[in-house]
Amino acid sequence: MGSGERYRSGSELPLTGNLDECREEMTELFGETKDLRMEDLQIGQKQAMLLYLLTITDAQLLTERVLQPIGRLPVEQSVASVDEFEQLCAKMLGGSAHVILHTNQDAVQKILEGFSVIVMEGVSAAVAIFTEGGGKRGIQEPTTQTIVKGPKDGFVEDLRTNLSLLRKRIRNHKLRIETFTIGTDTGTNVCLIYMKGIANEGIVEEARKRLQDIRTNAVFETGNIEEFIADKTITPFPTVYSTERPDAVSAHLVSGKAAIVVDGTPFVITLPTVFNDFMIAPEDYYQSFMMGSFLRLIRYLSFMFALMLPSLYVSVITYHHELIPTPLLISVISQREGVPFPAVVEAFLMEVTFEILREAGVRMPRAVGGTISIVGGLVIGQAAVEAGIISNTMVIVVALTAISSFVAPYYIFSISSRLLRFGLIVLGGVFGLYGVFLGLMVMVGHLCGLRSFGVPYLAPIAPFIMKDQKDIFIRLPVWASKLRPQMLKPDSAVKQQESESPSPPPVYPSERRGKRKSKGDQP
Amino acid sequence: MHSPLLERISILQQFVLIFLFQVGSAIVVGAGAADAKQDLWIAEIVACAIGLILVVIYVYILRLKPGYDLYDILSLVFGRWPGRLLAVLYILYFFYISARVLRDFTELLIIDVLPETPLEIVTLLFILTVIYMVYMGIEVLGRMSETFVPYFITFVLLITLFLIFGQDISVENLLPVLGDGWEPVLKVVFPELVTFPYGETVVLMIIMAHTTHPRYMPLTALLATVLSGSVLSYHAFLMIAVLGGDMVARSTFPLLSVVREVSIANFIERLDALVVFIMMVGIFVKVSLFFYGGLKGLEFLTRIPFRHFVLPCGLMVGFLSIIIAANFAEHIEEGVQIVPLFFHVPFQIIIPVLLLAVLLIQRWRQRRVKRHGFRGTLQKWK
Repeated sequence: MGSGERYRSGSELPLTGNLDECREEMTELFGETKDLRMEDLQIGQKQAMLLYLLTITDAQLLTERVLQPIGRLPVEQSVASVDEFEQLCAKMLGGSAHVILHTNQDAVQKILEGFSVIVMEGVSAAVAIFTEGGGKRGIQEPTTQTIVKGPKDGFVEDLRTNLSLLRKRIRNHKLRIETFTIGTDTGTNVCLIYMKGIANEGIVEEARKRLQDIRTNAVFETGNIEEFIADKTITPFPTVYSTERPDAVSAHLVSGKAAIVVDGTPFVITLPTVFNDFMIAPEDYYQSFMMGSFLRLIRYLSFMFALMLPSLYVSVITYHHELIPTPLLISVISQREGVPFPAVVEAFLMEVTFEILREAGVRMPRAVGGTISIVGGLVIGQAAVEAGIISNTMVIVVALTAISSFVAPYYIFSISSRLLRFGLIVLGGVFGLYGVFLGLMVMVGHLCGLRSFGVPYLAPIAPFIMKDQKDIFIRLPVWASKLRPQMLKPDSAVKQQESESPSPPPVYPSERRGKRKSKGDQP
Repeated sequence: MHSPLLERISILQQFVLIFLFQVGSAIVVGAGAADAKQDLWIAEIVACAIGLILVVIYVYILRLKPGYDLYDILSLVFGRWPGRLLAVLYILYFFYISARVLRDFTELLIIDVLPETPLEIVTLLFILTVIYMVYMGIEVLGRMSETFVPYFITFVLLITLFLIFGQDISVENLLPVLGDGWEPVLKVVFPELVTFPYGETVVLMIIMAHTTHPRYMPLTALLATVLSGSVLSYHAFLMIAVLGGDMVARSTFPLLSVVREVSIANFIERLDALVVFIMMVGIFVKVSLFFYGGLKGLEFLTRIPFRHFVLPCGLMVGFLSIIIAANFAEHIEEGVQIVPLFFHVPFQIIIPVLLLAVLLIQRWRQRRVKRHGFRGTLQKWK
């Protein structure tokens, strides 16, 4: 298994084949830990020792893969050299994913990964057999990205289960999985997955390099490595896409992206990521392309709303009355008559209140969740309006903003609009539309300057790539797009050369006449 | 001579930048209306035709020395120190025009949209945004223009649509065509209309030298110029058809006066404040490009990356745009009477034409050397 360069414990010394020495060394490393088992075994004529961590070992696997094969060995079996040991292992443990080890260090590493290690008297090698077990959650529907039509399975915390979900979806020999061990304290397994020959080799190489360069002590979630591998961390916009959905990851893989799976979390990140990825829900591809396109446009609109609506309202109501049609203006102004605050303060009050409500709603135990809606919706909203502190229009604006921010198919993405909204409200309150538009320009400039693994963040829009437009703002039918996203510079550009519209080809008059003659069945 | 991290813009970005640059402030200010009146649209067409010649000159110079920008060519052609002197003049010119364009827009803002806000604040905010964007580099500016240009074009089209639906357009306003003959038209065309958007393209010689497909660079530049010429002319046509020649001549910002006429179902009306911000994109590109041109000149002179100069020079440009004129009338008067003749003509026409002439003579000589062979003399020197 790949590179474990950073995670190193135990001596560099080769295994000596002395059981007592080995036992001493292990006791020194692991101390008095209760779950390390060192059991003596008799393999044929030889004395041996079985090492495993009880807590992460599956007892049934251990019996099936280790103890039963050993029990079946003839009693007179004797092993003297490493070569013979390897032959014996191949015969005895064939088909159970065993690894021959030569150093103490590797042995320790394997034990920590849930392998059972057998050391034999007089043989300067050891064998590790995969027997990992321990607590696991079953595959369930993802909680963050729910879907109406489409596959319902989601990633779980177990690395191998997650990899199997991907393998089962992409039955292709080009799917490559590379393992890294990251975290000096946790030694977490992290997998880099990509499609060889589809994903751009340069991007994969860059991802590999960045993973190898991570110097951290602990990795519990993809978020931990996200900040190490992202091109720029000082940005409110996420530059990698993380999802719980295996179908989304598979789709990204075949379009030429790479994915990173971290042991211990159901979130998988894919890269490179562009702005538009966050506006695309997997479901877009599972339903009619017209509906998918419509929903996508709705999502762009809601992103705009979530970002700008309060600031536009504030600036128009404070500085640019003339932009509102007169009857509407009269009704809005009459509502604001009793309100003691300027529009900026009003907007700020309501937005902050909403953010507090939202955070409370996320962190609260489910059982008391209903209270939030009552307190938030009724008490604060209605009472504030009736007390004359807040105008009705402002409540509508804030509510629309709030709902719009939930539309994003990717929850984390709404962070950007949540944060930037406040800045824009201030700009709108101080400089009017001028401030808001300049703020937007700075934002777009910032977006244009972002890159994700060398791919410009606004990729198919700026720089404009015509070939990619079939699947950005609207989604054309699947047969219409024959190329993988060109912005990712995939190694193989074509995804489906011969795809054609299922409607029958046009029939020319001469042909039709011929057909009628031959078949004679047309009226 | 070139840094390894040379920024290159794509052909489409070049197209969009040139288009926004040329339309940018020309569409707002409405230059030349005072004399040409109802024939302004004809003047714009003629100006575009002459402007094309200028753009051809700039592009031809760049093609003769591929990979070199304006400053490099200046010192290649005129020698090290005269080239540097000219570069200094160009830098001052670019910064000055950058400040002028900025002032055009800030005046528009405080007259039309934010009457109570001081000029200084408006300027500071704008120039800070420009500083940020230029600091990010020309690639980012190119991508930003790509993002905004659809909005720009949509609004230009929407305004037409609204005006047609609102029945504000009366083509009779264009009559009589050339009522006073060609004389007032040509008077406006040169130097004012030729130099104002088209001649200013000289600053783009700095970015057009580094595009991803140098082969298509000349064609792109010409197409963009034709497009902006037609947009400007169409726009002049629209203004006259809606307001009439005399109104256009008297109005400070004819575009806004036109948009103010829009009224659809008593719901979509008084769009001028909105239009200001759409037009802001063009102004923004123009200020940034002039500013960038000056900064690149400083980089050329000092061999220090231009990003070190962005903040101080940016604030300087902002300050300059405030002190440049005491009020808007003075600003416009300078713009009409002094700038075209004393700044635009030498920097946009005389120097580039000289450059081209020298380059052509050089090439002619080289070809002659090739044809007749100077091998004997060369060997003697060795």
